[in-house]
Amino acid sequence: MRWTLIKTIRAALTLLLVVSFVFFVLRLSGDPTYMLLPDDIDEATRDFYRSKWGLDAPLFEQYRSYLVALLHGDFGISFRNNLDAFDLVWDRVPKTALLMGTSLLIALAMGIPLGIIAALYRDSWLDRGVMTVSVFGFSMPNFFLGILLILVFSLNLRVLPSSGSDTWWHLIMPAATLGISYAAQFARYTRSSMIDVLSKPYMRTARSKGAAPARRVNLHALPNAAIPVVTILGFKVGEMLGGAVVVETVFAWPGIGRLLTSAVATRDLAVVQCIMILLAITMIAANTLTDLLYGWLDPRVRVGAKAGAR
Amino acid sequence: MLRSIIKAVAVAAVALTAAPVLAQDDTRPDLVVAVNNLPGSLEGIEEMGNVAVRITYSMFDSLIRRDFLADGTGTASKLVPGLAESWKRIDDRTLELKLREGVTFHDGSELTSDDVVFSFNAGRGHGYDPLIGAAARFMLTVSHIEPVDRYTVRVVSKEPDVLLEQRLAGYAFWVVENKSYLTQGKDAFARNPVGTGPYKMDEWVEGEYIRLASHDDYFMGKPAAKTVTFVQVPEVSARIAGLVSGEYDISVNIPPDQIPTIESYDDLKVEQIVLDNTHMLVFFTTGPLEDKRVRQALSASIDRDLLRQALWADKNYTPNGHQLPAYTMWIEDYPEFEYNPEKAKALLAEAGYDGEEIVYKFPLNYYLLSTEAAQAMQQMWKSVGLNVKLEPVENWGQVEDPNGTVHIRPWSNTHRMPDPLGSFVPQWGKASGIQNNKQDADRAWDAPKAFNDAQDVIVTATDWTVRQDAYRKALDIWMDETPGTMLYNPLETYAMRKNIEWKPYGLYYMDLRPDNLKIAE
Repeated sequence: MRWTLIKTIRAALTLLLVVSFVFFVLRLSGDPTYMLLPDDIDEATRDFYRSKWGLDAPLFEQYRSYLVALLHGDFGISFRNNLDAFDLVWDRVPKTALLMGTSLLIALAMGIPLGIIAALYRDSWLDRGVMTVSVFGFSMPNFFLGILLILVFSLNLRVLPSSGSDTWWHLIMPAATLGISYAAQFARYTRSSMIDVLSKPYMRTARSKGAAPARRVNLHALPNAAIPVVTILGFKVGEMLGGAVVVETVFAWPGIGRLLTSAVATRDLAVVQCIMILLAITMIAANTLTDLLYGWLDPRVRVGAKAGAR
Repeated sequence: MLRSIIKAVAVAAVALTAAPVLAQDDTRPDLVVAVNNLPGSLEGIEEMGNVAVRITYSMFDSLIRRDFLADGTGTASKLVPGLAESWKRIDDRTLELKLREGVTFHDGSELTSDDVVFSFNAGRGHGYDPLIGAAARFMLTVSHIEPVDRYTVRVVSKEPDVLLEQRLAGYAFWVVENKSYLTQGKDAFARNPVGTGPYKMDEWVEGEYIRLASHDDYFMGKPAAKTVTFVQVPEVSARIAGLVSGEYDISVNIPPDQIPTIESYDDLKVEQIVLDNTHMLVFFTTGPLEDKRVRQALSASIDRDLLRQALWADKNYTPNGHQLPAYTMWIEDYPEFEYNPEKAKALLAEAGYDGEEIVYKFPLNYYLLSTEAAQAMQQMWKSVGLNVKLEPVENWGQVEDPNGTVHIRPWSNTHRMPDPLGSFVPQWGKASGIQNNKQDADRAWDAPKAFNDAQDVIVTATDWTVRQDAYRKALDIWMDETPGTMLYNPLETYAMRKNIEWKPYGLYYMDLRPDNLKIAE
């Protein structure tokens, strides 16, 4: 109970910090009328919009009214198209979730088996091959890989659509672009974690018990090797959102990432704030989930928590 | 249960067979245009940047139309009938216009003088506390609109206005449907506008596309495409790839260096237009630039020919003075911007300039190729002894930061009417931000009285010779004072399939009317 309360207060504080930080950074770093109106507009028109968007009030007053509205569940209206900021953002969530979910699936489905294989055949040509490919995968910038895929599959082979999100075909290239670099990273983490575990005394015990190799890997090595990988997974979800910004722009995928870049560029505060709050919630949720998964994988954590509760 | 299944199957069968028949009736193609960005509003006067007008221009009509293709260039300024079939001057403040009869809006209702009155009268775009502020600068010379009868209106200006006809053919004077505007309200209308143009709203998926459907009863004839979809594709390479792979028919905003790529495909071509917009530099009259000879030297040491060759493949031009050839009172013999490094050196020596640092601040990625131009100019300035430091920043706020140092900034002036009142007067005149710098009063240009007097004559005189003389005088003072200079007019490139016959205009409008869009099989 107390644990939940502390977690909740901490989450609320994190949110308040995020909201305040974004508010002041955006407000102090540029005047939205310069971003949204033509460059040769007159001052009278600029003033009209400053007052319409409430930018003429003192900064602290703007901050106060923003927070009050937020507490009432009002995220505000986008400067750019007069639409409700929350609706605008919420409409994009499924697309980004689909892209990230698919990418994560690709990353895990490719990365973990490859990492295991590399660890089991350590120092063989297989291991070196996997690691070479993985260095290539994670050192290649997203936008470069994306454009490369467009060149090959849209321009030359003409088999995949270059942009948009109408069909499943549209998902292939963006998800692959985002997924491949994470697959490479997961392969490396899995490999090193597996190598570490394979040299542990309990593996030797398992072998001396006469357990079959498949059983040793699946039951003894994998759950232990998974712990660091799961820890990293939580962080990677946040990082992946950053990658989604680039990938969504390259492939004109209408998700949160692209909305965020355009909203930051135009200082469309309501939209940026709304996205940041959603992201913060996602990160908090992802980390809580990681904690839980961690406990499930590692009984010592659970025992420790119970012991602490008593 | 069984009966309802049979019924459902029968309905589905009918629907399946009927739908293709209906579709086959209309064999016109669906046009897909890949654009860099989509607007936030389609209310014709709320958003008037390039992203919006390329769509709204085909949804609305004006009473008088500017025929951009009168001389085949795409920048001509001939006036031809639009929604008004004729017009005549009643006096120097009043224009009477006869509306075309039988013109229908997208919702089927007929165009009458009521719609015109609503569209242009105070309340929507100008007057005290209007619904929309962005268009006031175009509309504030209008006093009021009087309906004479169902198909006749009078537009009355506050002062004698020789440009009234041009104004009515330009920005902001697009007719909206009165009743749907009032019943929907401004914000809903902005998402679902009702005009008389060749295309009407079909579907808008925020951040993805805006699809327009043909307005088959359009008064200039049946539009060539059944639908036109503007798809948002921010990345240039994706816009080009989609064109090659056949996903798009037209792609906009193609950088000049991509033209050879496009032209290497047999089924693609480019259409180019030099815009009615000029990339400029503003020289703040502070620090080392307080002496006008230093400003003159800055301008005289820019090799504009070289910039155009290197950056724009020499496909654009630099205007002679703050004007365009399309202006009604273009001063053809006005001298070009001079490139004379020797003169620049002499001016600097005369001014006693001793290498003091001059700061050029510019926002990155705002103007196409502005960074490349800045780097080239820095070298040109250096060769005559000008010590210019380039400071790229992220946004305009940082450029104008009153606590920072800035002597030069980039700018662009759009020539919104073929007259100095469309650009020179609002951008550099006594009411402009240049002469009334809000961020830092020291940076305001303290223009000579003779300059503002000459501009007043351009605004108020009704005699064209008097206006032109005053214009020349104002230009002379502007060139001499050099509060800024012009670099060139940028080139806009559209890439498209070869079977599309369509010409771009100098003002970013994409005119999809049947006389400017033809699609071969």
